Amino acid sequence: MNILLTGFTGNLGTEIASHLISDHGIFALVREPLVFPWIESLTFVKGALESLPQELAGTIEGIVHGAALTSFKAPLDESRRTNVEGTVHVLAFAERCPHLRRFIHLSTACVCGDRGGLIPEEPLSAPANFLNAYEQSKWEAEQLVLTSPVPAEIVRLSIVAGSERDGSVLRLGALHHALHWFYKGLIPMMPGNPSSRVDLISTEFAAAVVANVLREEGQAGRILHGTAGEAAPTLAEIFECLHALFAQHHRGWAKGAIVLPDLVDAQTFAMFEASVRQSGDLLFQRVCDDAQTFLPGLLYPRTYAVSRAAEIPTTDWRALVHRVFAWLLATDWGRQTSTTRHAA
Amino acid sequence: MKGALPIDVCGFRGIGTALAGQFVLLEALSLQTPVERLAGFGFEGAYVSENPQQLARDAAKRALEDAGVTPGEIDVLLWASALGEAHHCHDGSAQRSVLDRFRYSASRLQEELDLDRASVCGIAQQGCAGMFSALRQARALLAAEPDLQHVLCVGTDCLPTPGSREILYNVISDAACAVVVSRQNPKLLWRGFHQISKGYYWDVAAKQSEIIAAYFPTSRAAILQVLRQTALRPEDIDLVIPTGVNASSWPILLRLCGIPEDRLFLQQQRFGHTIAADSFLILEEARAAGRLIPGQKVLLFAYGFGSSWSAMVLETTRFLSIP
Repeated sequence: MNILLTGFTGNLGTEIASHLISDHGIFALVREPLVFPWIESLTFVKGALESLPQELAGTIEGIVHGAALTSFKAPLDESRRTNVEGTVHVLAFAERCPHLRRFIHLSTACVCGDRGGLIPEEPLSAPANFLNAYEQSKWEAEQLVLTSPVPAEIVRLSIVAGSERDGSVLRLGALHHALHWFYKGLIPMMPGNPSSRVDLISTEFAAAVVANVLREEGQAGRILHGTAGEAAPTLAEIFECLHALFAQHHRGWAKGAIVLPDLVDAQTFAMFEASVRQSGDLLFQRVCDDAQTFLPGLLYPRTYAVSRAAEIPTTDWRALVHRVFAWLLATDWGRQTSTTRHAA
Repeated sequence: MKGALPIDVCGFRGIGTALAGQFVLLEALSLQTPVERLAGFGFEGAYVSENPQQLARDAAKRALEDAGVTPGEIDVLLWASALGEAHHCHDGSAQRSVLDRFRYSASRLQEELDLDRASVCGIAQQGCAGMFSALRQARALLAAEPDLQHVLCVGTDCLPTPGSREILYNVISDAACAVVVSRQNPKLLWRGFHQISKGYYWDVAAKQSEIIAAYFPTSRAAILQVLRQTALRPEDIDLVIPTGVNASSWPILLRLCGIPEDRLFLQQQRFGHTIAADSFLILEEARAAGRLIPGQKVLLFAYGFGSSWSAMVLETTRFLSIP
């Protein structure tokens, strides 16, 4: 099947391409093809979401739409421009592909907003609150996909921590920034519930889920979770793991001087944030900004339903956390080059 | 109180404080943070003095008077200052001999107040928690030495002038406090104390942000530990005496500890933060406002550079109402 892949330059793009390349012809949509010389037997197509390669419409049989603005801090209009309007463009292109058989829309498990409990692999009505514009824009994109005449399927992924092979992370996200402040002992409190699950997956797992879906018969309107589900650790378990891990590398943690942040309710965290903003302390404002876009999700204990959990074994989350942390530490949170970074 | 008391029963028999006489508005102080931000935290200005010894003397006299104890009855004098300068008496001369460095403030206070029976000791390197450490030592001395009856603790500090009046978003006033810790007739009975010290944060200038971040979780740990020690639940605390540090931090700390927010005493005085005397200035205000009633459990807490986090639980007694 000839597949157009959007979002090739994102965290998952190369991994998805490498999972699909043996079975499919991959056309990777990129703005500047020349900067990706290391992927062989892959066709780079110059373009963007707003300028898709119309000349390929007759060739494309499948689309994996992974392009997204994943910044949790971006304002809603900016998130919508990529995540909603971009999806409109890709769906319109798909309608012009006469041989299109599959359309996989990569979404996020976070479209559930502040819902708790078991999150089903079903269309979700708008939650009471979204925690950031990213979640909202991805939820809006799902509505477009589900009402489109295109035979689309949705794969919702949870938090992609990094590579389970070598811990590498192509683009750091809110999780990695939070981990940085956490390690430095600069997060005094976090909104969260110790029993909340932190659903972490690896880039390899995410790519394997997409590849697996494409191997099967298409089923328009189907929604699947590429998440750890019940295998995901609780926040308390993550804390315990990080505490032990940090103590191996940081004197402050090893001596017990730095302690785990207090887990607080939303109101207490809001009071702390207000106090920080009042002080004008730039460092803590940054810490709070990073925390605010990501951590409030930990207030709502939830588990993502995974109907096909046995098909792809989820990553050992402890091993994943150890590898990603080791990579972050070795590269000073991506600021230094790593020889392993583009090994995939 | 009738009959023999357990050897470690003691408490605050008298309290005295002294705030510097000159009040300077924020606009006229040397500060790092914009005035409007500090005003937003509740700071209006600072009381300024250049004489920590004078402030200490005034506070000590008031504590002795409040305790109804004569200077000659004091067995031990404990002097607490965070700043090295306050431990020494300078005569103002530019040339200082080696011997000048041994002109100790505590000895001078002993002499000036006729604390003739007292043995004298200084306590330092505790930052704003120095007075708490002095009180802890006082209680320990009374428990260890049955012949001792009264220990006078004095805490005093003045920031150098001219110089910055701001420390980590707090505007600093100069003040002193004094407490007579006694076996008999305590107005506030000693119930428990817990201190956590973390030398990791010794380099205040280098670890400023880490210290700010460590403040809440470690404060919470110190308070919860003193509650465990005294077999009290958070809701058993009737009154929390804050310090003058960032007013918005106290409701957050109480929430972290599970202590109802209405237990926080809301001070009317606006002196900012004094290094040693906050808790005692505010305790006196609470007493004057009629907020201290016999049988209450009162929580005091202080953080000091070093770093030390100190939490203390006291219980008000019937002696409160006896002049």
